[in-house]
Amino acid sequence: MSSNMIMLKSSDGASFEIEEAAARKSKIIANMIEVECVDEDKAIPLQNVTGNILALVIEYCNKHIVDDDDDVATEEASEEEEEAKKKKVDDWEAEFMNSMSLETMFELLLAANYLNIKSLIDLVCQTIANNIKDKTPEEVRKIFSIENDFTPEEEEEIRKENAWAFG
Amino acid sequence: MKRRQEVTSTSPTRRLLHGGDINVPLDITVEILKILPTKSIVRFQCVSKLWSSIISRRRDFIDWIITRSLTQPPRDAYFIASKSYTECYLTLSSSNAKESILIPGEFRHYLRGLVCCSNSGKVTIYNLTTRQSFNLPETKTMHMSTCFLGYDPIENQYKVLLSCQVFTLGETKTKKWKTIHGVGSHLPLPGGVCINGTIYYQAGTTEWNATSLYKLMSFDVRSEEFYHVDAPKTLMDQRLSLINYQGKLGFVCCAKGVEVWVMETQGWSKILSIEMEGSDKWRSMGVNRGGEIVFVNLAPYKSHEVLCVLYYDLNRNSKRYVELEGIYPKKINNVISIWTVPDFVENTMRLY
Repeated sequence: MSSNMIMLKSSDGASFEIEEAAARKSKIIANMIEVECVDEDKAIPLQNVTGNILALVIEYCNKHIVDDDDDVATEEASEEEEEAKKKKVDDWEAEFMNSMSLETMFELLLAANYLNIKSLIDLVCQTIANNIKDKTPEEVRKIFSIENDFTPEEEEEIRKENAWAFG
Repeated sequence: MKRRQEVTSTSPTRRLLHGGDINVPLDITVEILKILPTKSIVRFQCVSKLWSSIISRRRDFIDWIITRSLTQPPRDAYFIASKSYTECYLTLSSSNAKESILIPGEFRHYLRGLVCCSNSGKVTIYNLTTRQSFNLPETKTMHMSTCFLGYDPIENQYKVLLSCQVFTLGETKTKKWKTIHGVGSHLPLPGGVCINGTIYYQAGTTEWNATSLYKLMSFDVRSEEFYHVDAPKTLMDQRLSLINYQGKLGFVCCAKGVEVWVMETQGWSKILSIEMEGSDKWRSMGVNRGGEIVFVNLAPYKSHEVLCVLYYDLNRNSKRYVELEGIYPKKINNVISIWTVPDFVENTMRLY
């Protein structure tokens, strides 16, 4: 009764074994499986994802493997059970993101984007948003590696117009 | 082959590992911006020209912010003007926060997070989210009573209607009022509503042989054409408030009890008629998304009266009152006017 396992290979050559159901959280991998591009003996190369990030992606997918597959079970579950379960997932996600640096978050976000895992994209975006919401434009530029392309006059003008939002 | 190498070399993850900068794709940046609180969004217009244009110009982004407000817990917006309109405050109130903003003039019309106000003959458009204001050029008809804001969802354009003159927002080149000819003389009255690209308003008749006091006018925001709209006798005889009733034009008449009428494709129908003592002291401000008709007490307020807003639930036939004492930032002295905006939304659009 063991489920299908597939192999993923990171850009830096690390191999990971993952349950097919978990890997299917990625639309890209799910599509590959659909069109039978996946050779059981060969690992799927993921050129844009390094090993340390892929490990995080896999950890996330493994944790969320159950929630999507038990549609039948949820129908019978009571509201309370449902809520308790949601809280457990929320707590896990908070803990999962909490241990991460902002740099890692961005790497994870780009990997989730590349692998097309909607729920992980949303989770990381929300965490980054919470992280930057009280920051100054200078700090945000640094975090996103954005060059300030305003002239000092233009910037002053926008700052003046929106002075209340800087308070 | 060359292309592939390029892709690899700019791979964001790789560069990040080496302490280099990171290249966040635009669509991801937009996704992050979409979930930030509006105050942060307004501040982050300063980050770069690209961020500024996403926030203040990109239609899908602005539409998202407007729609997002409607999915969040309702915030009631009250415009409260002091005696002789020297000051008019917008007070936003939700279950956990209260906030007051001084708006640049007397309240005239509200639409999609923007307010049209007038101040000693000048018309100003004020964005309640970004707190940016834009003064319209002065025109001869400025003394005329009221103005309306219209939005055409097809061209994504906002226009201001002042009597028979139109001003298009965002048109940086012309910056002129355009006069629409061919519409007969009429007196637009406050309390208009813009639904799906059309402004509707009640107007006073000015013809010497007019058989009624009022008539119903409409203005197509895109084609800039005026129309007379057939209306029940109630609307021709009474001053009343036009409302957006679930996307349809409606009106609430408070003359004798409360009557609610809605314009269906086949004509007008009265959907509600209730007795309410002292109904003529109330004026309707519209219907909120919870299906409540919102009323405010007609001015003048006496100092001993409690300033309040009445919500009438159409489905449950029940009433609730919201007292504004303590919400208004200043002590309320004898005469003031209030307006409310059901389903207040945020809008990050740049006005010019």
